[in-house]
Amino acid sequence: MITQAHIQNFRCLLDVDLSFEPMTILVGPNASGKSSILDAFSQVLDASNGWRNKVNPHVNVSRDSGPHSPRDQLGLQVQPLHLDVRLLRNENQLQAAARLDQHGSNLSNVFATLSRVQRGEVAERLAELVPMYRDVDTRPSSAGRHRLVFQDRWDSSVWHEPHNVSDGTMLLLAFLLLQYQQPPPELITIEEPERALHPYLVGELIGRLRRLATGKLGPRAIQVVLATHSAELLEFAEPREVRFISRRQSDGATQIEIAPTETQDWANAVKEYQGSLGGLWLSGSLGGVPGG
Amino acid sequence: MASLRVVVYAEGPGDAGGEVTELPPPNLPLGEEHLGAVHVLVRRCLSEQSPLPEDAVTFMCPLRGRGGRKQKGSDLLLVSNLRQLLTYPRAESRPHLAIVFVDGDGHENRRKTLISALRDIALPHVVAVPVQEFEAWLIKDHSAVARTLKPPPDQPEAVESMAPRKAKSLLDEWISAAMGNPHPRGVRMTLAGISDLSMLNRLPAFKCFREDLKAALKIVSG
Repeated sequence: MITQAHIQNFRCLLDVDLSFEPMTILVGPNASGKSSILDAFSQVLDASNGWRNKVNPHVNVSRDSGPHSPRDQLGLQVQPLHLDVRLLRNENQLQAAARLDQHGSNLSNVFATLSRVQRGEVAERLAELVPMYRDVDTRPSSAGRHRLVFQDRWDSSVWHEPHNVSDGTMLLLAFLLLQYQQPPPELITIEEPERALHPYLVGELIGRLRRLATGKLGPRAIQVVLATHSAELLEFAEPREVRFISRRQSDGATQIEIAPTETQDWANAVKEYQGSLGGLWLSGSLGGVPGG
Repeated sequence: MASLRVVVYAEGPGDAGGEVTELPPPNLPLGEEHLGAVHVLVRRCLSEQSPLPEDAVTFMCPLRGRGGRKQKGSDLLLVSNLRQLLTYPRAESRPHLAIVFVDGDGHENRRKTLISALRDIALPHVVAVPVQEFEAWLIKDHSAVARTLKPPPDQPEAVESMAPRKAKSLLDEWISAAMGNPHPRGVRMTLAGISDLSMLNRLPAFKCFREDLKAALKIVSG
């Protein structure tokens, strides 16, 4: 597991130190640097992304097995996910796919590559979370292509086409597949995982990602880093998991703050906000919020 | 102490600032363009009662209310909201002093009730409750009004005995009737800046505010 990262000269990340939990949640305004942190892991060798295009980026990462740098010495297996609800509905040219691509455009292939038992588990869990559907399957389309279809809960003869299925359902299906990917990545980064989900399902998703990150789901622990603007998501976060991201007023460089969870002031604040981390964040007292 | 970080919670944007430009993120310093009449008066009172020059007082952007909303006057009357607005989880970055302005609106016990509800809040704070509304303080010194608005309006009845909202509406009327179409914010800030504090001190609520401020400054300076 990555425990620390020191990132320099990457976009707005002039010089930041960042600690990680099994699941880490980056929260902050638009353009505060959340996506840059996620991208630093997968694009750090791209010199064109240097700090204001003048110097080369550098990332030093510490793992629980000791410090490593740079990425190729780490052998870090990062899966960046920025799922696109339009692409999740894509028909796929039939081929084996053990992992979702960044935008989820190969979702049909990843689902079809699972074993029959795994597909059954995924369909059963999806039907629990979105009880309008009973099952998920793939159906052939034209010329070696196939697509996902969703069985209606009340009329088993009806299979819904992807374009008739909600965005949230498509996203949940993609998230349910993460634990089955082979080989599993070491780290999954996800942009705005809460998009299109009912607040109850956000809680389910965060709980599931935390279990994935702590090894309670799937064959081994997969570290997870999320980026979000969502106060609803924070209601399901542990304070130690959250990093508050903002830009320094003096030079625009990204700065990162953590919740001072060991202090009496923190305990008092949590009490005043009745345990609502989302409410406390929105007050602006923790950083990671815009002006306006 | 070389500087004093102060957060002011007041009822209207004209009093609290924020009507001219967008505000910075909460708990960052406000610029002069963000300030309102309340800030001007508070700064005068602070510098009068402490060795700090006026420019050593930095006003911080207020925290946001529920759902990230900018607080409104009525938010300050709900004790749970007000307690949240005075709660800063990072001791090292919280303001030195908070000042809450709430209109009395004819409620005699409002100040006492709020003080009681906030007594265990760690942040040193002052609750100021003008007898009816803040505008009563702005129009108390009629010579300041006469120097600010032309032609000078007639001297009103004693502000202490005005009905709720009378001082507010009177000031609005005077500004509307003044020559040169003056901007209300500018007029209010001018009045806050030039009113004779010793004259305002004849108002029991203002006198009480200054005494509370003095006591709070003692706590802040340790």
